[in-house]
Amino acid sequence: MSYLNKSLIDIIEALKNKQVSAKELVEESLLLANKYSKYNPFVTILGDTKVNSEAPLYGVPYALKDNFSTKDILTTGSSNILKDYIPVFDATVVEKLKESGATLIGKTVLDELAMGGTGVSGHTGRVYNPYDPSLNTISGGSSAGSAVAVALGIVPFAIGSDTGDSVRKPAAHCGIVGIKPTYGRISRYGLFPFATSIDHVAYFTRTVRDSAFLLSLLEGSDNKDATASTREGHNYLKDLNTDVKGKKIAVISEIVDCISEPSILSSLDNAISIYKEGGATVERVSVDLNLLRAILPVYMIISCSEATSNNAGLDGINFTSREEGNDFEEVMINSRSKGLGKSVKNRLVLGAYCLDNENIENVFIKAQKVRSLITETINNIFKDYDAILLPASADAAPTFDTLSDRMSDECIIGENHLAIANLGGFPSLTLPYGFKGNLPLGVNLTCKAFDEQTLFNLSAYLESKLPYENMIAKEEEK
Amino acid sequence: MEKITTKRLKELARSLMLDMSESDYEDLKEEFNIVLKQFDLINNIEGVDSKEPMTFPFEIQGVGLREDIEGPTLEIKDVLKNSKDHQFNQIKINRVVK
Amino acid sequence: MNLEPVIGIEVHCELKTKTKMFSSAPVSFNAVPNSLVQPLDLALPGTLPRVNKRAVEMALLASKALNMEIDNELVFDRKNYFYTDLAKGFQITQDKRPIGRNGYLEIEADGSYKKIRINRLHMEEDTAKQTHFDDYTLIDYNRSGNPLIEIVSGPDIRSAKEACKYIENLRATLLYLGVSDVKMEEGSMRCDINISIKEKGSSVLGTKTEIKNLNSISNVEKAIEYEIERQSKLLQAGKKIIQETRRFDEESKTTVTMRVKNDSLNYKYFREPNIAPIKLSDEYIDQVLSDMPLLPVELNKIYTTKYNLSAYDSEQLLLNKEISDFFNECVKIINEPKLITNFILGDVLAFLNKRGLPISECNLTPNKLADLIKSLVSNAISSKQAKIVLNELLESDKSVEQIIKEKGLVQISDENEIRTLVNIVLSDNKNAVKDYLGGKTNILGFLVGQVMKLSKGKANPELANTLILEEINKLN
Repeated sequence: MSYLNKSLIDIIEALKNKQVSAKELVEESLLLANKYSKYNPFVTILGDTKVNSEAPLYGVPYALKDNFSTKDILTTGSSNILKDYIPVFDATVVEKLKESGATLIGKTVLDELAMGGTGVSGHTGRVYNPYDPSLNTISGGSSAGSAVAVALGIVPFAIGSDTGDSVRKPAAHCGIVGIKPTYGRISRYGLFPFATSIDHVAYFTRTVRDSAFLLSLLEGSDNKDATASTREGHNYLKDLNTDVKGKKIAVISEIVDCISEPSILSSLDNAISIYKEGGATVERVSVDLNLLRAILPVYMIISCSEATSNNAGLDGINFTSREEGNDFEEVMINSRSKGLGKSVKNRLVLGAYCLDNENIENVFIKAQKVRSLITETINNIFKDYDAILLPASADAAPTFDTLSDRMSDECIIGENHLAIANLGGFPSLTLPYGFKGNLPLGVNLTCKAFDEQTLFNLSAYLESKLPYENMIAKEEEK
Repeated sequence: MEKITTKRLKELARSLMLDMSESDYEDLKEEFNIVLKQFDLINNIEGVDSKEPMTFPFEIQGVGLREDIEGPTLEIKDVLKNSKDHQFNQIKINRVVK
Repeated sequence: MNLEPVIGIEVHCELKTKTKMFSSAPVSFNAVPNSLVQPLDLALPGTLPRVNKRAVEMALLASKALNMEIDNELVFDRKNYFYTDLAKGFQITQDKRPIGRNGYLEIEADGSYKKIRINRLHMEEDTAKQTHFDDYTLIDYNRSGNPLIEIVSGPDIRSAKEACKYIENLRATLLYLGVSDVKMEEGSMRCDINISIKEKGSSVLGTKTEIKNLNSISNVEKAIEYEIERQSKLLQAGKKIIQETRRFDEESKTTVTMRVKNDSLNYKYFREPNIAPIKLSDEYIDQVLSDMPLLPVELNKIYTTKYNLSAYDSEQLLLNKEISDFFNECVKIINEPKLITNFILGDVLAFLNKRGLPISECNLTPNKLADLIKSLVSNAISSKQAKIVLNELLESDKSVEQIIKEKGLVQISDENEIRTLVNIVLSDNKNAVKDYLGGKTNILGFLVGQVMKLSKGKANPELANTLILEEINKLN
C-alpha cells in the first residue's frame, strides 16, 4: 500500500502508528522520482536516505527548488554558470527541515535563476505539466519541478520561491496548494536572490491543512536575515477555523472583467457561491485600471533592476564557471555571456536600462513610487475586507507552442495580478477550484500582511467544499 | 518614448559584463521596444509623484544591529572549493593590472 | 595669471572592530590568506548582510568628533560595479543617507585657525586584497568586507601644507577616538586627493584630477606640490587639464595618469534591500557618545591649564597616543603630573627610542611608575635612587618594592639616625669643621658627602645637610 498519495499530516500519522517506515517512504519517493522522469522535475535526485531522530517530520520526503543552498549538494539555480557549484552552507529553511527530520530526496528544476514563469528555461531542460501525459503543456514556473513533484505525489510538500507568482502560478497549473507567506515570515538566508525586495520563500502542498502545519515549522526570525520578522510564530493548524460566517471578501472587478475564459469564470462564480453559502459576504471592489495595468511593468522594472545587482557576483572569478580571456573583463564577459541563458541576459540588460543614470529617476524610482501606491491601495481594501479573491490565472496552463520566450508583449492584468502580493508583501495562497478539460485551475486568496491565519481559514473552508483536496496527477487515470 | 538602438543595448550589456550575438541583439531590440511601451504605463497614474519610493512593503521588525562578536570562518579548502584555479591558498586569475 | 589650488580630500579608514562590517568573520591583518572568510565575504548566493553594531558606534563617535549632524536612521545603498576584488559585484555603502553630514575640522595654518568643512562621513566595506605577479593575480578574501568609514572634505584646502595639517589632525582625532589604527603605510588610512586650479578670487572651478596611491603624509605633500605645479604650467601655457585619476609615483616623485575618468561612470546606486532601515534612538546615540574619549585638543587644554605643563611638554606627550594614555593612567593613580612628565619624556622615552619599542611592550606600567613616584615624594628614596629604580623597572619585570629591597636603596630619613652619623663625621673631620667655621662654607658639600659615604648612600642628603648645619652651629 502506498502512503505517498496521502497528505503530509496523514503521512506523519501513519509513520507515528508504524503503518509505514521512514525507509519505505523515502524508497517509494525515490522510485516515483525516477518513474516520472519524463516530466523532468529534478536537477538532482539524491540517493542518500539518511533520516533523523524522532522529529516532527521524521521520515517525510520532500523536494527543494534548486535555488536553495544545500551544503555539499550541487545547487545550480538551473543555470549553466552554476552547473558545478557545491555550496558550503545550508539555507535556513533547509536547516529547519533537517532539524525537523524531513528527508530531502531531490533538487528541483526552475526557470534559470528563477527568472521566468513557464518552467522552460532551466539548463537541464523544460518541465512538463503532469496533467498532460502527451507533454505539450507547461507546468508554470519558476518553481516548476517542485510543483510537479508535489502534483505527482512524489513528495507531500516541496519548497519553492515566489518573486512574482513563481509558486502560486505553477500551483494553479498543477492542481495543488501553493502559498507565499508575508514578506519576512520565512528567512531568505540561503535562497539565491532574484529580486531581494520581493523575493519570498514559498512552498507547495496538496492540502491547506498541510500548508498551515508547515508554516509553523518554517517561519521565524533568523540572525542571518535582517529582513526576517521577529514576530511570534503561530500554531496555524491548531487555530484553523473554517467558519466563514461574517467574513468579508473582495473581488477586484477590473481584474475579473478582463478574463474571458468560461471555465475560469464559472469556477470563480462557484467559489463565490460557496463562500456566500457559508455566510461570508463577497463584494466586487473597484481599483483604478491604470494602476492595475502598471503591475506588470512595475514588477519587471523592480525585479530586473535588483536582479542585475543580485547576479553580479556570478562573474567567473571565485565560485562560478569560468571562461578564460585575455584580461579580467574578458574573463567576466565570456563567463557570464556563456554561462547565462538568453532570457536571463535580456532581463538583466533591461535592468541595466532601468538603473542607468539617464533613466533611474523616471523608471526605477518611479516604479518604486507606483509600488507604494499599489500597496496603499490594496491595504485600503483590507481596511474593509478580510481577503481578496481572484482567479490565479486567466486561463489553464498554456501549451509550449503558444509560448514565446519574450518578455510578455501584452499587458494582461488577468495573468499578472498575483505580483500584487509580492509588491505589498501580502500573504497569498492558491488552491485548485476547477478544471478546464484535463487541466486544473487555481483560485487565489490574499490577506493583509501577517494575517496568514485568516488566509488558511478561508482557504480551508473553500477546499472542504470542493472535491480537489490532496489531488494527485495519475498517469494511468488519463 | 525612447527608440532603443543596438549600440545602446551593447553599452548596457557591457555595463553588466555581458555580450551576445548580433541576432540576439536584434531580438532584444524588438523586445525592448515592446517592454518600453509597457513601461510607459507607469506614467499614466495619478498621485504617484508624492509617494515615497518603496523598498520595504512595511516597517520591518527585524533583528537590527549585530553585536561585534566573532563567528566561525570557513576552512580554506571550502573557500577555494568552487574556484577554477587557485595557488598558495588564494584564488588565481590572469593578471588583472596590465 | 594669479592662480590658486582648490583641494578636497577623501579619506578611507579601516575601523578597529573585531568583526567585519556585514559578516562576523574576524578582522585581522597578516593572517593566513583566506583564513578569515565567511560565505558572505565570497558573495556565495543566498548570503545576507548584518550590520556590525560596534562599527556603527565608531562611525557615530567619529561623526561627533568632526562636529557633524548625525542621521538617526541607518540606511544603506548598493554601489554596483565589476572588479576582481569585489566579490558581490557591488559594494554596500551609504550613498543617500551618510551617518554624518556637514561637519568641520579645525586646522592651524600660518598661525591662524581655519575650518575645513567635512561634507559627509559614511560606512562601507572593503574589497578583497589582490597580489599581482608577472602573469597572474592572486586574491585573498580576508579583507573582503572589512569595515570602513569614508570622510569627504569640502573643497576648502588651498595648499599642500594645509592638506597635510588636515590629514594629521584627522589622523590624530581618529586615533584618539580609538576607532582606527590610521596607519597610512599599512593602508588602514588611505587618502585620495581631488585637486584643481582656479584663478584667485574667481568662483569658477577648474577641471580636477584625483590622486591615489598616497601612503604617507610626506608623499601627500610632494604629490600635491607636484600636481599644483603641473596643472599651473599647463594652464599658463594655455593648455587644458584632463579629468583623470592619477597616481603618485614614489620613484620619480611625480604623479602619472592611471585612468581617464569616463563621464559615463555609472554605479547604478539603489537602496540595499537586504538591510531594513535601523532606527537609532536618542538614548542609544547619547549613550554611545557619552563614552567619547578626550581628543588631542581637549587633552592639551587639560595638560597646560589643569596640570600646568608647558606647551612643549604637552605637545610631546600628545605626539603619541600610547604615551599620552600612559600619562593619563599615571595621573589617575598619583596626582604628580610634572614628575610623571619628567620621567616619561626623559629616561622612559630615551629607553624606548633606543630599543625601538612602543611603551605598551616595555616592562614599565603606569602602576609601577606611580609606585616609583610615591617612593620619591615620600622621601623613601632619593631622586638619584629613583633613576636607578626606573632603569631596573624598564629592564626587568620586578616591582618597585622588590628593586629597592634588592639594591638596598632605602633612604634613611630618621633624624636621630642621621644625627648620630653627622656627629661621627664632624668628630672625624675636625679640620674641615674648623675651615667651615673660619668661613670656608663650601666645605659643607664635603661633609655631606662623608655622611652619605658612611651611610652607604642611604641617608637623605637634604636632611644630612640640615643636621650638619645644626650641629656645627652648636660647636660655634
